[in-house]
Amino acid sequence: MKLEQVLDQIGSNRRFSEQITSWVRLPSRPAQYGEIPPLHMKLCSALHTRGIRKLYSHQAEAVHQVQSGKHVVIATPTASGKSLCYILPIIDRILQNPQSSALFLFPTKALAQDQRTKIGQWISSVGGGIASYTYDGDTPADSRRSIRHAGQIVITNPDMLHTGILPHHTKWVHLFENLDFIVIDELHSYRGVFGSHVANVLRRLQRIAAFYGSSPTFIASSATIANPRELAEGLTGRSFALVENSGAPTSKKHLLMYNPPVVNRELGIRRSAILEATEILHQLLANDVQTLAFARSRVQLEVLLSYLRQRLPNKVIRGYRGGYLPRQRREIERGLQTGEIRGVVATNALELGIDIGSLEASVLVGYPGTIASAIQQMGRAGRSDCPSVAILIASSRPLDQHLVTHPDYFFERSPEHALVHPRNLLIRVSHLKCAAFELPFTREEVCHDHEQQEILDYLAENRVLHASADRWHWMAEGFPAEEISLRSASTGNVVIIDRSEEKPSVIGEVDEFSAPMLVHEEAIYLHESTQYQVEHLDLKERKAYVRRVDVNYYTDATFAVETAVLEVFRGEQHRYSHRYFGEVRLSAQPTTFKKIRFNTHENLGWGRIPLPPQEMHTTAYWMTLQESLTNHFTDGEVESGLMGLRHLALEVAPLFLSCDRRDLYAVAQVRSPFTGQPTLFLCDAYPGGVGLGESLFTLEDQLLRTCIDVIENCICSDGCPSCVGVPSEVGAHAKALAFRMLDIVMGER
Amino acid sequence: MRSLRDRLQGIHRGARESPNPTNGPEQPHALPDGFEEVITDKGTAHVREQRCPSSSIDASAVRDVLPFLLPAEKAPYCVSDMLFLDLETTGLSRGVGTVPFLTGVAYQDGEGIVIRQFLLRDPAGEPAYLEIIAETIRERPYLVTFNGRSFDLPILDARYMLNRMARPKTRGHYDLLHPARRLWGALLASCRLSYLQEHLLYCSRDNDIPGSEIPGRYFDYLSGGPASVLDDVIAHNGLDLLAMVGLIARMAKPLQGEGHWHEHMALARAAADIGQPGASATQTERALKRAGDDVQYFQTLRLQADLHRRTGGRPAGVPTWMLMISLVEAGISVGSDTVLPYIQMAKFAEHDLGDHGRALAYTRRAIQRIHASNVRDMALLEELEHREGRLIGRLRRTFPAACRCSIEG
Repeated sequence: MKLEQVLDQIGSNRRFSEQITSWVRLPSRPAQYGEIPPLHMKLCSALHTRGIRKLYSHQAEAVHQVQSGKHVVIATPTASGKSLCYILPIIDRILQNPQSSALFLFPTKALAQDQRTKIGQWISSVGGGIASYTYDGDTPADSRRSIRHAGQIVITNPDMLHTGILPHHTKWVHLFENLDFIVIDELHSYRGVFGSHVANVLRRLQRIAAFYGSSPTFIASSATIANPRELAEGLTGRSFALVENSGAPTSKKHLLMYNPPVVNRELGIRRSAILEATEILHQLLANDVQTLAFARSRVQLEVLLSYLRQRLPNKVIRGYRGGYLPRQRREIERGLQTGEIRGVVATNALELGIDIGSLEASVLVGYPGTIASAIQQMGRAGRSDCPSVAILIASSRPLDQHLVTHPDYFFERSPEHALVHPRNLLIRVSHLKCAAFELPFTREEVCHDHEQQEILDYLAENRVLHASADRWHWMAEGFPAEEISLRSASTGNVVIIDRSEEKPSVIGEVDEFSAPMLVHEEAIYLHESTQYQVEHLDLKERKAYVRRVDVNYYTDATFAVETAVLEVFRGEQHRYSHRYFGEVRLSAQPTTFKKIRFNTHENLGWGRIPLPPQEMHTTAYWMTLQESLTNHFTDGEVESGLMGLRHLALEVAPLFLSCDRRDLYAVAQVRSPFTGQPTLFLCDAYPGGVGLGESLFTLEDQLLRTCIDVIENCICSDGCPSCVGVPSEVGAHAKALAFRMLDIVMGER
Repeated sequence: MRSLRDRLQGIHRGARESPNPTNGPEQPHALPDGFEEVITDKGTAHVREQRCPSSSIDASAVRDVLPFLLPAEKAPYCVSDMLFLDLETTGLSRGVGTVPFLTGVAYQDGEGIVIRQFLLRDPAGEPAYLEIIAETIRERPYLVTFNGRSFDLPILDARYMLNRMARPKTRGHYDLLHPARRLWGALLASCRLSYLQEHLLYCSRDNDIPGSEIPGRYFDYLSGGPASVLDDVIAHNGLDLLAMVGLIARMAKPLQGEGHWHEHMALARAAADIGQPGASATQTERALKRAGDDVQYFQTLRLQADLHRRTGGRPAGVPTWMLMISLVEAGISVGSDTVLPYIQMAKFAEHDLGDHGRALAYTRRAIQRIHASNVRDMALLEELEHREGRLIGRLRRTFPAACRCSIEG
C-alpha cells in the first residue's frame, strides 16, 4: 500500500485520529540551483562524471563565500548536501596548491570514519594524489609519523586535537605552516561544557597556526538551531557569513503530532508513549511502509523491538544502539537499501550523520530533548521524491506536552540557542595552562585582555608559569592537556568504574558536585543506554563502583539545594517581578532517593543518602516576585505557586537552551535571604556556568510565556508531572496559583 | 564583590604556594658555582666547563663494539668528533612544554674528557642557550646518548622549532639504550643509566638526586631559590655523561674475552645479524666456556649449530646437534627446545642423506619427547605428526609390504 493510503487509514481510524493534535502537510519544494563557481578543471570534470551539472543554491553560495575568504557557517536541514560545501573549496584549493592543508573536526570517531570514506571518494574522482588521514586514538603508532609529515587532509576530533596534536605541534609543522581550512562539522554538538572547552581548544589551534604563519578559514556546518552564526563566532572568536537558505529539493511531507489518550484526567495521566508507538508502528510496518523509530533509551528500544517482533513475526526489524561496529552499521544500511530490512528501532546513536538512505516514515517515541535532534530524526524520512511522514508521540513530560500542540517549532525557526561560554573561569584557566605549555604567552599578545593577564600572573605566582621580562613560560611538571577532559566537567571528577566484568573498566565521570546526586549508593546510573547500579561511592578517592543491571526503574535523588547570591551582573526591575543574572554559591545536601518505574513514573521505593553537602560557585538567573504581586496571595499560596513554577520552569527551560534538564538546578526560596522576596533560581549546573543563566535572563519573556502555555493546555485538574508537578509535592492549587502569578507578571509586558 | 583573584583561588585549591615570591623576574638569578657567561649571536648563554684529564673515550672500544651493536650508524671518523649529550628537563612528558633546562655534553680533546654544561638561567634566554648548544653540536656532529632517540633529541628539536631556529645537523647518533638492553637486559634488574653505572662500572651514586626531584629544583631556582639548589642536578648530569663514556668501554669488554655468558651471546647474535660469522663463532666459543649451567650451555649450542648451518649448510650443524641430542638423552635438564636437534637431524637425514628411515626415527623421538614433557606445543606436535605420516608414506612406496610391520611398529 502507498504511504498516503496508509496515512488515510490512520487518519480515518478514530482510535488514532482523536489523538492527533496536529497534522501538517508540508508541500514538496523543487530544488533551487546556483551556478557552479570557478573550480579546478579536475573538480569540474569530477562533478560532471557524477552527473552534477548545478549546485544547490546554498552550496553555490557557501563555496563562493569560502572562496572570497570568509569564514562560513552552513545551517541547512539534514540531507541537504552540506558536506559538499566544504569538500569542494578544499579539494579545489589543494589541487591549485598541493602544499595546502586542511583539518577536519568531527565530534565522534565513527562520524570521522564515515566522512573519510566520502572524502576519499571525491579524492579518487579527481584522480587521487591528495593524502587524507584520520588521526585519532585508534591510529596505529607507526602510521602517525607519515600522517604528520604528509597529510594534506587530517581528520580528527576535538579531544585528539586537544591532547594529541596541539601539545606536539612541532611534529606537525607541515600541517600548521600550510593550514588553509578548518572544517567543523556538526557544529551544534559543541555546546554547553563540551562546547566551552572546544571554543578554548579552537583558540589554542588558531594561536599555533598563527605561530607558523597561517590564518585558516573556518567552514562550519550545523543542524538548524536558533543561533548558528552566534555559536560559530562564540566557538572560534571570528566573524562568520551565514548560509541558511537550503536550495535542496524537499519531497511532500506529513508531520503528525500525536498525544496518547488520557487515562486519568484528574491526575493528568496518559497512556504510555511506548504502547501507542507500538500500535502506530504496527500500522505502518504491516502495510509495508519502511520505518525508522527512535526510542529514548536502550531499555525502551528493547521493549519496543520485542513488542513489534511479536506482532509482526514475518518482518525483518532491527535494533540499532550505540557502540555498533562499522561492519554492523554497513549491514543495516545495506539491508535498508535493498529493502530487506523493513524497520529499525534506534536510539540517538543513529542521529549523527550516518547514511542509511531514505525511509518513508520516522517515528519519534517521545521528544528527544532538543529541537535540533528532533529535526534530525524527523529528517531521516523523506530523502527521495516520494512523500514521507514524521510522527512525534508525546510522553507525559511538560515539554513533550507543549511541543505536541506546537508543530511549528519543527519547521519554522528553531527556538533553541546553542550556548558556549569560553570565558568560564575554570575552563579558561585550564586551557590557558595548555596554551602556555604549547607556546609561551607574550605580554604583547595579551595586552588587550586584562583578565587573561591577571590569570597568567596568578598562575605565575602559583608556580605553574614563570614570568620573564616579556613572556609567561610554562614551568611545571606534567602535561596539562591530559588533566582536562573536554567532555566532562571540572577537575576532581568522580570516576565511574564498572565491576561487571572480571577486569574493571572506567565508563565515565561525573563532577564532584553532582556525584552525591547521580552516583550515590544504590543509584541507577545510565551510560550509553545501559543501566548500572552504584555499589559503592568513595568520595575521598573520587571513585564510584558500579555493576551492570537490568531493572525497570531509574532513581531520582532529592536534595536540599540552597543558593546564596555572591554577585549581581545584570538586573532588570519590572512592576511585579525583578529578574537578575549573577554569580551564586550553590550547596546541595542530598537527602533521599526514589526508585521510579519507567514510563508510568510509579514510585517503587526509596532510600536515604548519607552524604555531606557539596558546594559550587556558578552563575544563575533568578526571578523575584515583588510585594505588588505577593500582596494578592496568602503566604501558603505564594509557596505553592512558587514550587509549581520551579517544577515547570526547570522542565521548560531546556527548550531555549539546547541543554538537558540535568544541566540546570532549580531552587525556590519563599523568602530569599538575599532578595528578601520569594525567589526562583535557575542555576547552571557547571562550576562557573556555561552561559545558561545569562541566556535565561535574556529569554525570560519567552520562558514565562511558554510556562503559561503549558499550564493552559494541560488536561489535569490540579497539577500533574506534565505541568507544575503533583499536588502532594508542590502543594494544593499550585497549577492555578502559578498560572495567576505568571499571568500578572506577563500582563504588564 | 568577588575579585577575579578570589574566584581563581576558589577554583585553584591546592595550588603550590610560592616559597619566596620576593625575587621577581627582573632580578637575574645567581649562577651556580663554576658557570660563566658566554656571548653568542643571540645573547648571553651560561656555561660551565670541567676537565677530567684522567679519563678518556676508549677509541678501540668505539671502533670494535659499536659496529656490532649499532650497525645502522656510520662509524665516526675519529673519537674527537663524538659528543656525549644528556638533558635535564622540567618533566618527562614529550610535549612541547617540556624544557631542557640543563644540557650537558662531554667530548675528548688532547688532554682528556671535557664536560661542558649549559644552563638555561631564565626561559627568556633560550635562544642564546640553544645557539651555543647548536654550535657545540656542529663542532662534533656524532652524538652519543642514552635513550636520546625517543627523549633527548625530540625534545631539543621541539625547542629549536619553538624558537624558530634551525636545528643543528648531526651526522651520526649512537643511542646506547638499545645496545645496553641487548647486552644486559636479561642480566640486570634495570637498564637505567645510573643502575648500569653502579652495577657495571662500580661507581657509587649514593648521594645522587632522584630523577623525580630534578624539575622541582629548577622551579625553586627560577622562583628565587639559591643557585645551590641546582648543584645536585649539575652533578647528576655530569655523572650521567661519564657513565655513558664508561659504558662504551664496558660494552667492548666481552670482545676482549672477559664477558658474561649473556654478553657473549648478545654479541654473537649481533655479529651473526650483520653477517660476520667469524666474530660470531668467537663469541659463541666464549659463551660455551662462560655458560653457568646446562640450560645456558644447551642454548649456546643451539646458537652455534644455527650459525654453522647458516654458513656451511645443514651438514655443518650435525656435530653440534648430535652433541645436543646426547645431552638430552643423558637426562640433563636443558630447558625448552629439547626437540629442536631431533627435528634438525630428521631434516638432515631426509633431505641431505635421503635416509627416510633415519628421518622417521628422529621424528618419532621428537614426538616422544613432546609427549614426555609437561609443556606441550600442540602446533609443533601436529607438524611433527604430519612429517611422520609423510615419511611413512615415502617408505611404503620405497619398500615393499615386507617392511610394513617394522615401520608401523
